[in-house]
Amino acid sequence: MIMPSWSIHRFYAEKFARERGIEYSCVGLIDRLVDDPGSTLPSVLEEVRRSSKLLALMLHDETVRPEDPIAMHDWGAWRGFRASVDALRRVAEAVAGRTGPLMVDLHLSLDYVWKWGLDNYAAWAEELGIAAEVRSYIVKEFANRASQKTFGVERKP
Amino acid sequence: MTGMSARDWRELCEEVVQAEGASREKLLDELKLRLVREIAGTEITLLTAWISHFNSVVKQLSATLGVKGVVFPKELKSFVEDPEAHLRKKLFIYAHDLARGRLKPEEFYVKACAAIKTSLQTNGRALYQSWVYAALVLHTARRGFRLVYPDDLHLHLERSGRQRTGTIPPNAVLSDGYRALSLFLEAPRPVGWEDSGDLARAWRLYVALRPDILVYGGRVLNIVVRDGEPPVLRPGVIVECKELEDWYKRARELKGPITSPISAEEWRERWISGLYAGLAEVLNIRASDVAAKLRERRGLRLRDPQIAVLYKRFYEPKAMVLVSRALVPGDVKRWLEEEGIQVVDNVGFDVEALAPIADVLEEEAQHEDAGVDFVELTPRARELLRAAVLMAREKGLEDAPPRLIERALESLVSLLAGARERQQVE
Repeated sequence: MIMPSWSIHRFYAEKFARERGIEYSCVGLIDRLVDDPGSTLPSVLEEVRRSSKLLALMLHDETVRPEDPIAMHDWGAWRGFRASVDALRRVAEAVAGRTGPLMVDLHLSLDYVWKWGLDNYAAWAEELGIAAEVRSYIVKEFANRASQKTFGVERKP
Repeated sequence: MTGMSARDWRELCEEVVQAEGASREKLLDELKLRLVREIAGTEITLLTAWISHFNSVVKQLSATLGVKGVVFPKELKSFVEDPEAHLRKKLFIYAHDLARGRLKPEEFYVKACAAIKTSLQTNGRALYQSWVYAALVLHTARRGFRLVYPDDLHLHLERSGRQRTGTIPPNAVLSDGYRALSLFLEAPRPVGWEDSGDLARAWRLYVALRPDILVYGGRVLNIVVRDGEPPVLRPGVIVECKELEDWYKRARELKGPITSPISAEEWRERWISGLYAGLAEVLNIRASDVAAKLRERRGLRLRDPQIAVLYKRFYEPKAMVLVSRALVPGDVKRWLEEEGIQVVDNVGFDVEALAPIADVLEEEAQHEDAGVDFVELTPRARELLRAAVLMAREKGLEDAPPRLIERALESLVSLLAGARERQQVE
């Protein structure tokens, strides 16, 4: 599956954050948590543990690892594993406050529209509990491009 | 549908829909009764035997400990009193919906089966857990421990409404005068809160894991740790009870670790939305948006043996015991024991099989710093004590009752020792 690069994620995350006046220094960390949790989680585990010891245990201890695809690339978002994505949101919240879950939703949404455009985006986002403000941002950003098939960062002349 | 023939079934449902007034009520009662017997006849017989086992332990507690009764949670009380009547009550709303045409007979049957099955599972679990709890209290009573809290000499199985003041009190404190044990059933549970600040602090109690029995050494009257993670004190022992034959094959979903805290305002909004959804249902109007919002989300799925290990990892008790009514396969037992969980299986309802767990509890019992102990006085002893207090005052002795009892016991011991010496001389 072709996914947008982290620089593209950063471009849209910064734009999204600026429009809402929210902090976006966590973007890089959130991107790594979504795409490469195996090497990123150990560095944030203590923060997660302070927020939820139970979640921290499930993330790092194989004996009590749930059947759901947690701490794996994309956290099962493409197979509709809402609980896994909720676990990712909680991790993001522990390390980046209320912005964290929004950035997770934005990352996953960008991955989705990059691959499939806006077709069925609303239904997928509903099933996965994507935040309303992220949904409206994605629709606003990509509504015109969907018909022109021109995703990605706009090149300046 | 099983057992009850489709023809009988549909006919009775049709009659219910067409009937009115008192005759409809009568038909509904008949329908509920037949359905409960049809779906749960075997299980009712089985669980009635479990109730007898529980009552038998309570009877022994009455003789050993002076227990005067049991305070049950509401649902369990209703079930224990009359399992069949309790299950009929579970069908009340669905039967009503069938009568007013909101449910088709097939839908009614599916919902009724699910409601009965859930109730049987919940009450079966609560019954076995209560039996284990009562049997452990009996073991400690045989070893000289007495019930010192609550002081009403009742076996308290419930904890609803006891946490409004923001604390989690024990279900029982047992003491032998030197050492004490505090027992908590299905704690932690949410404590009372009034605003968002309180709720934020209480939130961890809403989503915390809830082992069957937590045991603490000493008199522990509150286990809440404000802002703590875990939100309760580290227990000495965790006792987990498994009543099902195949519990180790089952899995459960945990929502706690993935549920984000909500504010008191959101809570109230959801509560009002819930009322609205319920009202909309009764009024037969659409409330789909609200219902969608309230729909339960899935949690993270773990197998039951994993959840037992999770309890141990999360609460870090000094010891953890798993009581299984049925035999546990060797590989599962070994796996749990390698994780440091003592497995006592094939227990059935054999009180003596729980003796090893009573050993673990006795080891956990801690020395009491309290300089007093509580002894139940007979009515005659109370009269004598009152008379002794009054007479002592007349003589200018202002000793409090505990000191007077000490003096009286010293006199009695001295008398008995003197009598023994005289006997030896003769």
